[in-house]
Amino acid sequence: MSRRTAFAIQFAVTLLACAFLLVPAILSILAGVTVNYFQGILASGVTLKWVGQVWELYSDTIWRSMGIAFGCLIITAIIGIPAAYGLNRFPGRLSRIVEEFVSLPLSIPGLALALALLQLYGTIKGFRLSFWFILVGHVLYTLPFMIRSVLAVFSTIDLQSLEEGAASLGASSWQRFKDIALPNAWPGILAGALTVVTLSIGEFNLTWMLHTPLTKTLPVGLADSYASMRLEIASAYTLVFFVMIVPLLAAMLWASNRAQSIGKPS
Amino acid sequence: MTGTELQLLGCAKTFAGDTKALLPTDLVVKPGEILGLLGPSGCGKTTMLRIMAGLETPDSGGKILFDDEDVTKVPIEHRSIGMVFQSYALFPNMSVQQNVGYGLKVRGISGSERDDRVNEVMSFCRLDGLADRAINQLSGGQRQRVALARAVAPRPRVLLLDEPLSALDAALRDTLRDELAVILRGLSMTAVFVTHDQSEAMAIADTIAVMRAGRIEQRAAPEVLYRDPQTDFVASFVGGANRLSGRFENGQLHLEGGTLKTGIEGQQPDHIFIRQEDIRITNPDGASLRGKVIGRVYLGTHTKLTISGVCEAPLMVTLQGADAPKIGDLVGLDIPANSLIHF
Amino acid sequence: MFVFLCFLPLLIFSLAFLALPLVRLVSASVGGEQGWLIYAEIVSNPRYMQSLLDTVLVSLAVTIAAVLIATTAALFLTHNRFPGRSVLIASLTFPLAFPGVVIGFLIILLGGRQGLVNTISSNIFDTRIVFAYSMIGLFFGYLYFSIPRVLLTVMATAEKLDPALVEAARSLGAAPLQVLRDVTLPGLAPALIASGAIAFATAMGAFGTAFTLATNIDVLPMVIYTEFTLSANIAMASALSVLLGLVTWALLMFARSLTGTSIAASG
Repeated sequence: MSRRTAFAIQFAVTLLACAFLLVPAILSILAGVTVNYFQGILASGVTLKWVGQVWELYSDTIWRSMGIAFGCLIITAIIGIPAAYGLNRFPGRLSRIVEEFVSLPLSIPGLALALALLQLYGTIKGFRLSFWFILVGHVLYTLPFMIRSVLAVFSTIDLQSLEEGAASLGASSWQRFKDIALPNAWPGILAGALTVVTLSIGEFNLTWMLHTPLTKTLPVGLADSYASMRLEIASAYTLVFFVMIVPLLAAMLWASNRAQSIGKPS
Repeated sequence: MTGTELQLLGCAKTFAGDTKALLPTDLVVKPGEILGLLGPSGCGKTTMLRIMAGLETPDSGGKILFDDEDVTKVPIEHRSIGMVFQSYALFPNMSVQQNVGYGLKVRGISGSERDDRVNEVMSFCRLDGLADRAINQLSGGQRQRVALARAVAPRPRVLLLDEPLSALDAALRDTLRDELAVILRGLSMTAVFVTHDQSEAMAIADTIAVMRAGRIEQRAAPEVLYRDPQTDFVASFVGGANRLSGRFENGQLHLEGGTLKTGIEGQQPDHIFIRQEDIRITNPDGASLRGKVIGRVYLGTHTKLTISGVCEAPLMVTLQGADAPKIGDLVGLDIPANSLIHF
Repeated sequence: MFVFLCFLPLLIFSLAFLALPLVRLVSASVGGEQGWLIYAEIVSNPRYMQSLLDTVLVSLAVTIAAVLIATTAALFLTHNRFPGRSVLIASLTFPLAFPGVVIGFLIILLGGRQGLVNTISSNIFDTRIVFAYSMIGLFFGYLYFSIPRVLLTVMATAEKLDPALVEAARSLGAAPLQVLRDVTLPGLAPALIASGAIAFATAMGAFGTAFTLATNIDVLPMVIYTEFTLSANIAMASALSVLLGLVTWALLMFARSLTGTSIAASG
């Protein structure tokens, strides 16, 4: 095979893959601003009417998703950052087992985790019916990402030496954590935080099982609209979701790349 | 001598953004000659090597000839060159034997013919007994020899080496440098290697091309380069010679630390240099040239002194033996007129 | 002491919301009349086994397709620099955070009754092509969210490969396909195994896409969902969940032991 043919094949596959991912998303965006999808956007015209209806019908799910994402960020930070610090300070068999265990939600399907939570806590009505129940599910799923992101930065900056340096100057454990570990872990915390928020806003597998009619999140609302609303409204709702998630995703990828390039010469 | 004659005709390389990595250059490497391309980083030596290899194409107008064949447009895989990379680039998924035999394998040579050649090259490069080792089980020196064996196994027309010793630590480098010189000479193959280390170039090469800013400054045998540098850059980069800058009058050079009889008649030369080992230390009393020792490094076989107050830049002096002056001592300097390099 | 305090929030949370619920899940699975025999019943029940087989097959097909397509694109994007390259990379990674439901909807827009493909084929060729509401639709849905994941992993590894390795192979006379086979693909192997395992495990456990496409696609997560909500067969739903969790977890552990890197499913 000549170099030129190989290039052409690779280029074609890349473009086809792009088209496969882009075309449905563009269809959805267009459908969300078309007056009547079956007549077509050219025949019926452009409108923001559907976006407006989505806002009336579903704005509560958008606010709830943002609230849960924010709560999830706070809790994963409170649990995850000290945990990553501890895992780095005491690298050993026990730490590895702990890390493995809390990473289980990455390899077990959300559906199974949701069933487990439901059966243990489903009968505690005050908890089951509140958004805290969903929040717990989201923290369970996103926590490993926060821990890994912070842990990765700790191991590339050689925290061990920095800590010993600070200790030789007389800093206490808490001072070392606050003055040395936290500031240096910032790129990892940022990347972890953006990952947590992005994943929380898009989470469906767990949430679908854990939600109640009064605690619908954005993706649950989406599933609801796909089943029961006209195509234009479902599309407009999807458009709103895109507008929220795509910038977050871009920021997340940027922050992750930045965190990974620590310690490498630029 | 056997081997291929390598010629570059008007080869230049301009990279995106109009960076001129290599100015138009002509160069002939005779069959079996070992040429060293010596220069600081960014001088164009690696670009020139990659043009020879076929990893870069020269700007239009440039030509590369192997004997009489124009290979300018021949891609690297059909050019029949052997290349030793700076990082060695050994294939981690293959054993030593598989690495060395790879060039034969892709040429469709199999069976006993391949095995014989691999064994021959491996024993020539002192790799006996390592055939089945994984790459990550090798020492730095072994890796270097595997890279060399792999490059020469398919009997390339030209062997190209990119900084073949720079990946090794300093302690190993001197031994392996001498070993590499012996192996390369034994191959009697046209070879070009790139280095930034003048002692490496001197130890290995038949001739050295000293490069700076995309040009070859001087091309000569090592002893000629050292004894008779043609440019101030060659004098300071190759020999580490001291530049003597001062006022020239009637054959005398007036320096900060005194006066020097140069024996040079007529006009003032552009550059006057003196090599480190040609300076002798004398008693300061009554000496016509004096300075103060501000640095002293004892290196066993010799001692390196840094002396200030002689001319603008501190003077570097290499002394044999251990009874050298101490830091802070005032010393006289005897610079023999016939050791001066001037042009 | 301070380090113990650092672990405390994690230990409390994981114990309460991970360890105990998982124990409860296992005990619920054997809490029915059959006890532990419920696992034997899964193996002997053709419907469950068929569903497991279908799930494995569609996941396997998606994994192979995603690895082939994404690796080709990743190598192309790593080795070539051209204007618009970053636009291509962006278009290949933006669905990374889309949940399965949204992807199901997008597949319906593409291959549903009013989808683009059907509209074009009906108007031009006078044939109806509807594939969204079946295993084919599911395949495309899983492919949709696997491509970005595999692409990012492979690209990250491809960019770290020493370019001198390829140059060395070429200097020894290797043709492009030989370079690919002998140098590039072996160098990418850990990334291919890791991203393939993630794609497979994610497809095995995915729920949202099948849920949106049709309720009668009998992949394992859908069966679990139906058992739990419609049949209220808690023990069976739990047992199938335990089985599914074990399979995906074991697979990812195995892939990790091959590659030495830590990998995770998501979605």
